Amino acid sequence: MTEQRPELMVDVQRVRFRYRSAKEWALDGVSIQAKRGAVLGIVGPNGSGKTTLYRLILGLTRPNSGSVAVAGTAPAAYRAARGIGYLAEQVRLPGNVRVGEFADFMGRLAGLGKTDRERAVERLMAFLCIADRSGQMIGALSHGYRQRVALLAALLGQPELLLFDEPANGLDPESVGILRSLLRGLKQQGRTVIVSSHNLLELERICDEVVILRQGKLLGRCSRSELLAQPDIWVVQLGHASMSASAEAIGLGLGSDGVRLAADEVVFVDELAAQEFAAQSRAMGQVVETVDRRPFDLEYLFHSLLQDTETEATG
Amino acid sequence: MVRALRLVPGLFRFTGEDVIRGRCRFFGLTLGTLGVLELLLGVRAVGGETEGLGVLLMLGFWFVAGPLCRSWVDEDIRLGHAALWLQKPVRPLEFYFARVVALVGWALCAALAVGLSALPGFVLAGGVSQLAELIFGAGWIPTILVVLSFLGSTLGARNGALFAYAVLIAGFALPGLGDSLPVGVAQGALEVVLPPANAGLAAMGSMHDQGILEGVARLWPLLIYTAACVVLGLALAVRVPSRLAQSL
Repeated sequence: MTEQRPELMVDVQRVRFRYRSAKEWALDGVSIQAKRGAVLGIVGPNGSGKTTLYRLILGLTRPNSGSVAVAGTAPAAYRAARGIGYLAEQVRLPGNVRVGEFADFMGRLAGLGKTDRERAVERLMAFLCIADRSGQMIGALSHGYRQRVALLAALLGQPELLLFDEPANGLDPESVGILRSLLRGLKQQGRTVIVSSHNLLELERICDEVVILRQGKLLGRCSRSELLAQPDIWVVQLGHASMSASAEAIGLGLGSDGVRLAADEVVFVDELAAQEFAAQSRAMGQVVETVDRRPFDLEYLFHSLLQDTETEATG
Repeated sequence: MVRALRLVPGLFRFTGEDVIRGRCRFFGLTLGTLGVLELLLGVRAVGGETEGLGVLLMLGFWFVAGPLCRSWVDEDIRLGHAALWLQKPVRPLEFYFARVVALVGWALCAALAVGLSALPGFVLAGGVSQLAELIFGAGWIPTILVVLSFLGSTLGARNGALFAYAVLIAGFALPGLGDSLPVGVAQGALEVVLPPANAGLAAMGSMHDQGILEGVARLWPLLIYTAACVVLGLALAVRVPSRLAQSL
């Protein structure tokens, strides 16, 4: 008789969680599911509850209400039995230990025998391009290399579920490239990955689905296929005129269902609305640099959802 | 338990790499200074009068054993380690049990290292057999006591660890205190409050004068203290996940 594996690797249902000292809910009625073998992205401004969600999935804390299940079981029990690859936002590594020694230790913790450990460490070091740092003290490594060492530690033992909290923070382009390849590789191996990042472009390239959090609430979710099926958008980029003229023009754009991406960019789903906004801005003395068409993307979705909630909040 | 014991060699090695290497200058300096002081005392000692050498040796044990527990005292390091085992299929109690065993192993290594550094002084004083007695009979007591008290000190808080350390040192100094200061009834109270090192010293004396069984019988306060420390140390394992939840 074969073991039945639930299709959902992570199932968070209507979770509410509040820290003891806080008045606000860190998570308020959030439901998130990650299918086995999928890459799920979590997007949200600072303080939106991303790390709290990770703590719940790791079983470090329990929700005030709602439920969290990993592979159909309690998170802490799953973690103790199978292990969860976890890359914390703030990586703490022992400074006086060499990279190779540390990798060996993590392999032991993962329960790997000597031969398996050596093979796994060698393979991962080569993949993460840190083989030449094996004899170096971790304390002497740059931030990017430390992050790669932490990734290696998380991957040893081949956990089925991996949680990466802002893995690309402060990384140079080479390290970001390695991270991207790694995530693709994990996806091909059928492992489940939940990754949070402020880099929306990266998430869009990698994730099967992205959920958007803000102030502990789930604002929306979007799969890659849904994103691709959306019609193109129109971006109006204003020039650097006076601040007051710019603010006035932006205000006008937002009143015409535009979405602000940056201080000088307003996006419309309708070409006519974009052209009209550009004409009005010019009439106000504002310089319009470009009116460009581009595919619907996660950045637009994120900002439009945030703007909608802000508008609702201000009545 | 078997899973925990399997972790011991790895943790023993990791502790060496992380703690011993990180403090190698301190350990080297302490052992070197101890060796020199013991040599000087050894030159002065006449006819095997090694009491002074013994006291200095015990102090050496305290000094070496304290930093062994650095990773238990430093919240950042402890939580960093917890963030590592947290990822792997290891239960907290397994990890902590293996870590206690690994640290006690290093404590025994420390006792031997201290003994070796003091060896030339004892040789000069003609008291090699007394040195062996100190190391194998009682020298490990303060070392392991420091380790265990650190592990169990108020569930790992830095101030608690320093307090536990101070209690042990004070206990060690207690007999001398009574000889040099008119502390009166406070002496009896202090002997109750500060049993461990005092019991260790008393046990040493009894072992020497009256035999091993009498010495062991005087060790009971020490055993109670050690058991309490172990229990508290393992209780750390229960609290670390909640601390991690706040600090990750």
